[in-house]
Amino acid sequence: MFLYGIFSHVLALCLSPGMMRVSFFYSRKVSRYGVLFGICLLLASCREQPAPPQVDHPPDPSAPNVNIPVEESELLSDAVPRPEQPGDWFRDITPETGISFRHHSGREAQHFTMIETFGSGVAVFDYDQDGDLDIYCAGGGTISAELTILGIPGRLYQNQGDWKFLDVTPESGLETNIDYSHGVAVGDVNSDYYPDLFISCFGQSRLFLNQTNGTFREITNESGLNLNGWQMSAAFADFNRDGQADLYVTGYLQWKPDRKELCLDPNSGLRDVCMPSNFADAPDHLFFGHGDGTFTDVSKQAGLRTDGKGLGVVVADFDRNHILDIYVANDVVRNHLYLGQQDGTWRDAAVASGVIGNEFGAPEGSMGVHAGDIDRDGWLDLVVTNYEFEENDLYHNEGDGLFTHMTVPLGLAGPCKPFVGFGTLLSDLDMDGWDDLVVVNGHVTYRNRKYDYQQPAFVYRNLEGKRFQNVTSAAGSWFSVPHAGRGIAVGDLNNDGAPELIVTEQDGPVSILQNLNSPENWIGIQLTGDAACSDLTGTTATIDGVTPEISRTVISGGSYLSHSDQRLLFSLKALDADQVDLTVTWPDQTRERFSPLGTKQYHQLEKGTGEQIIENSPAGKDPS
Amino acid sequence: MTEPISEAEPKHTATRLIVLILFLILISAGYYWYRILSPAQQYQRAVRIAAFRPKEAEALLESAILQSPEERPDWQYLRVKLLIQLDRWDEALGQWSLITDPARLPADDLCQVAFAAQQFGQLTFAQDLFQAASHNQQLLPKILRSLIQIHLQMGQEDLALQECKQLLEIAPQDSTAWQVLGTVYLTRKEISEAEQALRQCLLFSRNPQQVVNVREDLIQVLIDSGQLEKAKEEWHQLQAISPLLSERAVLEYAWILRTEGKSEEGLKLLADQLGRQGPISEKAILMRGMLLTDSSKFDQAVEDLKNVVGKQPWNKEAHQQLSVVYTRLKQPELAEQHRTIAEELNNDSLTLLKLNAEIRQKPGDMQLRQQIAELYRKLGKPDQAARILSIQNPDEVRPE
Repeated sequence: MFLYGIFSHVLALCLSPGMMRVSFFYSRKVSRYGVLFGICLLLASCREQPAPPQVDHPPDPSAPNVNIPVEESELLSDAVPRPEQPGDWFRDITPETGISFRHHSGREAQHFTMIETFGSGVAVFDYDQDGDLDIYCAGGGTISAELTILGIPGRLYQNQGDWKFLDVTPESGLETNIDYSHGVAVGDVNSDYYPDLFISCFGQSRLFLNQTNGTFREITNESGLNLNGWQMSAAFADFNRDGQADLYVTGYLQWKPDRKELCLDPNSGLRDVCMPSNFADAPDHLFFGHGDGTFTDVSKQAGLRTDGKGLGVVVADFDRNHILDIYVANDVVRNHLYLGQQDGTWRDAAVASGVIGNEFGAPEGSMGVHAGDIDRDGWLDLVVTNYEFEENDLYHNEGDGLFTHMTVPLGLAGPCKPFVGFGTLLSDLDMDGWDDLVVVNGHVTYRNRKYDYQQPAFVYRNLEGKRFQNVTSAAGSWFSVPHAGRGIAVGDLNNDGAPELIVTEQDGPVSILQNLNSPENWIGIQLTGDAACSDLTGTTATIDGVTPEISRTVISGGSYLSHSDQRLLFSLKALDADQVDLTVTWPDQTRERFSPLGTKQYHQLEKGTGEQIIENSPAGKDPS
Repeated sequence: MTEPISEAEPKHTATRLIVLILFLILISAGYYWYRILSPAQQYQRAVRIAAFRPKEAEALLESAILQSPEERPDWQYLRVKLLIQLDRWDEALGQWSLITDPARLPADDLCQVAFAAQQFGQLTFAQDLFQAASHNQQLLPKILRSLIQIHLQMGQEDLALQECKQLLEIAPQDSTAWQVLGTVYLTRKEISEAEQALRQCLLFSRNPQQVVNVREDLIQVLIDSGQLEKAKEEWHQLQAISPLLSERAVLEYAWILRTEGKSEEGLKLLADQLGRQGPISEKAILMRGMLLTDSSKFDQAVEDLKNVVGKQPWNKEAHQQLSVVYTRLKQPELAEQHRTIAEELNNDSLTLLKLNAEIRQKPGDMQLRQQIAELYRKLGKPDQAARILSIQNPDEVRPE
C-alpha cells in the first residue's frame, strides 16, 4: 500500500493538474499514508513548467465552399426600360428585325474562367454588295464541365430592307466549327472588292474569304495567319502601302484553361474570375497581305513590342505623315501608339505622344478605343474606355503625333467613371456635323466589383468641339436600363443618313438601335479603290468650300472587337445646298475632285473616276 | 529457543532508530519546504513586496510559477504586470503567451495593462490583452474602440472593419466607428459603402471638426465615384457650416469646377481662398497649374508647374501636366522630357507595388527591403523608406 500510495501520487502529478486533484482526493481517503503526502509533493516539485496543451486542428467541416455558383439573378438587372419619349435619339427595334442572336460565354459551367468575361463583337458591312449593310455577330463559345472550350459559330444576317434581317448563316458557309470567338474584322484580302471576314478566337483565329456569291470559304490554313493563342480585336489596313490589305491582331493573355486556377473575391472569399495581371502578356501580330488571301507575319521586322495585353485597336494616320499608325488599348498595362516610320517600321511613341494612360500618365485597364476628329481641326483624336473608377480618356490630337488628355476639360469626367467601359464610338449621331461619343459598359467579374454587373451605357453630345454634354437621358429607352455591354458598331442600316448603333452584350442579345434623328441635309460616300489600292483606310474626303472644314477619314478597327461601316457620312446641316463638291485624298496621296454630288443620298466614288487634282496647283494645296 | 530472538532485537532497534531519524528528517524538510520554499509561499511573498521591490518579486514569481504543479494564471499575470513595470516587454509577452485561459483574468485590469501596452507601442500585446478582456460586455465598446485603433495602426484594416461593424451593432450611433468604416471603405474604393458610412457619421456626429472632416471625405468619395453633382451639393453644405474652408475643401471644389469647364472660376476660388494663412501647398499649385492650362494661360501654368517639380522632382502628376502644357506650347522636346520623367516615376510606382507584394512573401529579405526603401526615397516618401527598413516584425509590414 505504501508503494502504491507513492506511485499513485507521482503518477497523478506527472499527469495533468486535473488528474492531480483526483489523486489528492484519493490520498486523503487513504489517510494512514497521509504522512507521505509531503514526500509526494517534494517529488512533484521536480516538475518543470507545465507544457502547453496540445491543440489539434482537425479539418473544419464548416469551412466555406468557395465554389458556390453565381446565380444569373446576381448578375442581371430587373430594371424595366422607360417608355419611348419624344426627342429620343434611338429606338430599340431588335424584335422587329428578326435578329435573335444571343452571345454565349459558357459561364453556366461555373469554371470562373477569364475567357467567359470578354464577350464578342459585331461587324456591320455589306457582304453581298447590294448596297445595304448586313450584320455578323461573333458567337462566343461553350465551356464543358471538363473545362473543354469550344466555339459557337457566329451568325450572319442579311439586310432585307425595311428593318428586316434574314439569318443566312447556314447557306453562307460561316456555320462551321470554329474556336471560341471574340472579335470581327472586315477587309478585302484578295482585292476582289468583296469584304472578307477575320474572326479572332481563343485558339485558332479564322479567315473567311468572300466568294462573291453570298458564301464564304475558310482559308485560314492557306492564308499563313497562324494564330494559336488568345486574340481579341483586329483591323485590316494597308500598312505598307502596297495596295493590299494587311492585318493587325491584338494578343491578350497567355492563358490556358486550368482546373487548378483559383481566384477568390477578397470580400466574400468566394470564387471569382481572375484578374489579367495574374497572367503574362500575349504579343500582338502584324501581317502583311499579298493580295491573294495569303499573309506574312512581320511583327518583329515592323518593330512591334512583345508586351501588352491588347483588347482594342484602331488604325488611322494620326500624325498625317501618310503612313498608317496603330493605337492599341491594353488592359492593365500602358497603351501603345505605333507611329509609322518612313523606313517601314513602327515606333511605339505612346509616352512621347502622351497617350499611355490617364491624365497623370498612369496606365489603366483599357478596353475599347476609337478615333475621330472631335473639333474638326483635321487631326484625328482618340477616345479610350477603361476599367471601373478610371475615367475614359479623350486625347486631343495637337498635331505632329502629340496628344493632350482632355477628358476633364471637355466635360467627360464623372458619370462613366464607376463603370467598366468596353465599346466606344466617335460618330455624328445627331447629324449636326460634330462627332458625338457613345460608350457601353458592363462588368467582368461576378463578385469582386463595386457596382452591378450590368451597367448603363452613355451618349455624349459634342457641343461643337468645345465640350461634351451627357445626353443619355434622351438617348432612348434602351439606354434607360443597364446592360453588360461589350462590342458596339455604327452603320446606317436604312441608308437614311442617320447612323444606327448595333450593340453586343455579354451573354445577352445583340441590339439594333434605330437612329431617330432626322438629318436635315447629308451625303454619304462609298469609296472604291483600284487594283493598286484596294484597302482605303486613311482615305480622307472633304466637302469643298465649307468653313470650318468638313472632312471624314476612313479608319479601321476601333470600338471593341467590332467593325463599323466604313462609308463616310457627312452632315450638311449648315449647308443649304442640293449638290456639293467633294475632294478625296486616296491612301497613295493622289487627289480627286468629285462633283457635283447630290445630297441626301449615298454615292459610290471609284478611284480614278474623279477630276485629278495636280499637286502645287491652288486646288491641290495640302491642308496639312 | 530464546537466544536467536535476543540476538535479533538490537538489530531491529537500530533499524527502527534509523527509520525514525529519516522520518524526522523528512518531516522537517517537508515543513521547511512548506513554509519557506513552496510556490504558494513564494507567490505570497512576491505579492507583499511587489509594490516596492518589483524585481525581486518578479524573480520569486518566476520561481513559484516554475515550481507550481499546476497552472496559476493569477501568478503568471502578476509576473506579466511586473515585467511590464520593469520594461521587459519580450519576457512579459512570453509569460503572457503561456497563460492558457487569459479570459479568466479580471477584464478591467486587463484593459489597464492593455492601454499601457498600446501606449508603449506594444500593439500585438495590447491586442491580445484587449481580446482577453472582450468577454466583458460592459467594457466591450471601449475595448472595440481600442482594438480598431490598434488594428488601424497595425495596418490590419480587415480586422478594424470587423470591429467597427461589431461596435456599431452595440452602439449604432458611434460616429467615430462610422467614420473609420467610411475611411477604410474609401481607401478600398468601396465607394457606395464609404458613402453610406460617412453619411451615417454625419448623421450622428456632434463634433463640429469631425463633421467638417467627414464631409470633406464624403466629397472626395463622390468625386472619385463620378457623382459630381452630389459632390457639389455636399460642398455647398460644407461651405455653409465652415466658412473658413480647408485647403482640401478648396481643392475639391476647384476640381469640380474644372470638370464643369469653369477653370476661370476655379482660379478665382484658389486666389480668394488660399494663401491667407501661409504659403500654399504644392498640391494647390499643381491644381492652379491645371486650371491655368485649361484656361490656355500656358506661360503662367508652366511657371506653377515648374515650381512644383522644382520642389518635388518625384511629382509625376506635375511632370505629366507640364508635358501637356509644353505640347500645347508646341515645344515637343520639353514635353517629351517631362513625359519621360513621368513615365519613369510611374514605372517606379509600379515596381514598388510589385516589390511590396514580394516583401509580404519574403519579409526577411533585407536586400529587397533596401530596394523598396530606395524607391520610396526616389518617390519622395522618406518616411515610408525609414519605416520599411525599421520594421522588426514582418507581420507589421504594411506596404502602400
